Amino acid sequence: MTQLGRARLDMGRGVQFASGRPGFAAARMPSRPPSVWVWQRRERPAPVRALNRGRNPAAWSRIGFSAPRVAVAVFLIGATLAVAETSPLTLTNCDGRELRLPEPPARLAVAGRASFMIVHAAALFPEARDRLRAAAGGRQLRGANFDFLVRAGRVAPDLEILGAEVGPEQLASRHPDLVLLKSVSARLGDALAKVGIPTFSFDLETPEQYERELVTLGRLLGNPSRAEELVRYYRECRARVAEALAAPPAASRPRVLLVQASARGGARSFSVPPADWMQTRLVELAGGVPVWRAAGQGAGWTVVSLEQAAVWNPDVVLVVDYGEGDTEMASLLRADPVWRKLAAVSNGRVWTFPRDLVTWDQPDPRWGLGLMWIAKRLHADRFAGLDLWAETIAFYRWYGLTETEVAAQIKPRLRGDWR
Amino acid sequence: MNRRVLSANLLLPAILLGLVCVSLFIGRYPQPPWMPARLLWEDAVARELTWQLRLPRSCAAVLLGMALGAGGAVLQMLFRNPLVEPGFLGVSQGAAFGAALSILFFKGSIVLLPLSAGVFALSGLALSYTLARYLKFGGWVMRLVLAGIVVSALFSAGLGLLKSMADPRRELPELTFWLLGGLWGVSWSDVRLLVPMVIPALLVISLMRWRISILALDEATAFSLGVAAGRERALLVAAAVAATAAVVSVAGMVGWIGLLVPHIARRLLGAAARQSLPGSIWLGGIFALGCDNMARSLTAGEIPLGILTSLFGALGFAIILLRGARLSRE
Repeated sequence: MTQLGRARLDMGRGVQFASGRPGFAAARMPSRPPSVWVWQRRERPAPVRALNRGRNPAAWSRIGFSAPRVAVAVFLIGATLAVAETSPLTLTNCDGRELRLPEPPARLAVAGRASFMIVHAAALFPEARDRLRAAAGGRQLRGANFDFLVRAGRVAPDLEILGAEVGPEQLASRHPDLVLLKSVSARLGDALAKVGIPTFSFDLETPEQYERELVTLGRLLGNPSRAEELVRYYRECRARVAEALAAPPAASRPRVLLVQASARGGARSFSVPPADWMQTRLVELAGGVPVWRAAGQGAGWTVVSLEQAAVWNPDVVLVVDYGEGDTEMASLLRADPVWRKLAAVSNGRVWTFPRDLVTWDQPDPRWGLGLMWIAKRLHADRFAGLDLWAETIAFYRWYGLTETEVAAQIKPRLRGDWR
Repeated sequence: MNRRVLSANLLLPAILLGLVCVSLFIGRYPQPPWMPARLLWEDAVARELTWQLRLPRSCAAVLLGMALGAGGAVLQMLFRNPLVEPGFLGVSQGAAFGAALSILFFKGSIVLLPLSAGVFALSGLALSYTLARYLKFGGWVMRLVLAGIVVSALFSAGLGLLKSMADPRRELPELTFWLLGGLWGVSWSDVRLLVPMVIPALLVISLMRWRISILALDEATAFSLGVAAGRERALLVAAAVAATAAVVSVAGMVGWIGLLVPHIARRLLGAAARQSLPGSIWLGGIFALGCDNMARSLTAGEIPLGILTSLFGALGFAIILLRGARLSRE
């Protein structure tokens, strides 16, 4: 009932499309979240009105339409929708296991490691506000991130943020219908299964997984159409980058080193992501060669030394700072006597990954922006028309933000070499 | 000094010096595991890597091993307990707690991290010492050991709490790697920080090595031999702990060196402190440097130093125990 009620409220807002924006921003993006018109098409009794407004009523009556029949049809459609709303739901976990739920979950909790990624993905759906009841969260979910999601109406102000290492007992006390986890938190999932709480695992580590799991999230949250729109957006991001790189084929793919710089290590040491993480895939999709592929075989960030960086001698260095996204680390690299000898530094091709509320390199909804940013950095000539600010505005329409709101809320938080 | 001790005291420093020289050419640039010497003249990157990276790192590894080896030897003898190592008085856990605090709340500042680790390491010692003074049973050694266990446990609990609060993507990996120990971030500035802490401490320990055997005796006997046991023991413990705190604040938690190396030194050079202590110092340097060379050159990613010292330390300890068992049967 709540969803139907909100759908009616949304219906009055009408449908707006962006037009005339430069670069990617001119993509086929609705200015309001697409759920608005999706709901209109699905639930507004448009067929009935259309029939009544038909240009040739006699023709309609000839094929058997009458008021009682239409009423019956409307009743049947409504009943079907109502049944669909409460019908069993079968979903496939990222590890291939099937999860059968008697009805779509009304109370969701998010827990385990990197839970903020699931929360941010769920917040792309307006339905998350009513269904997300608790989430384990570190710094990337608290503070400004949480405030933003509340202001955008994507999580309820009373969403309970639990400790990062929340256990099965604390979760059980919140009575969730389903707990969403990253696959790395399988042990927590096993513990929850023992107390009868179903869990659903996401990978969300590569663009392909992200798109696939958005579809699942759409089914879980009862808005598959929204999921389709989102998937279309991300595929379009990838396709536009691929097209620009494909014709004519990029002459040379720059050798890229993406590093998470540690304040402790100064300019002397840093970490590289695993080969199967989002960061590695983004560099590949953006037309670069991730030089750290062989080193990133672990389950998490691997510390490598500057000596190894000298062996790789990359053409481009991308610095990720999960702190404030400051460019201080890149400055340190430029000033370091050893780094200065490497091709990337001597050619001035060291850049800090952009961030607003979170860094754009992660399996977070902003990865599309991250992909476009890398592509523009690696192949500036091919992406000369790409306006990242316009892309940022376009992206934040998924959260219902207008250009003015993006300028007021997001622009002051943009860090790194995003321009 | 018998010939065996004399030759060991000449041979071990020579081996250490040779290993330092060899370490400058061990690494992953340009190809693992060896860099031709001519590249020092021909390749600017190789030159910078050698002077700016390998040399300070090798110096830090040597200082780390020497400090932990000496600290372990001193504490094992003073406390008449072969299972004691420098970390047991709450020093290591205190340093780890201080480092974690800095990583979480001060973004792992290059200045604040070693400072915080050092302050909490010395706090661990001060707490253990104070607590031991208030305990009302047992001898001084037993009280100090018990107090050290209590303080270590308190810092461990605090460390666990901080780990549970850490951001799993940003802070936890750094924290975990730091707890496993490593010299991956060492530069000349770290060496400059270590030298004034470690070298004076090693000098104090070396100069007082003649007294350690007497200080290991009980209070009354030591006093009857003309030794102010309390004051001298405090000085030795403070020197050992200060050196340990300094190296832990730079390299993180590197285990087993302080436990294993004194045992090897005693096997090689005899149980008397004046003979085995210099051996512990040199062997500690050799062991740490050898492990660090492997940590930085075996794989493209760094292997945490603590993992290698634990691996080889545990293997070495097992060999010592097995040889000891065989000798006692014979």
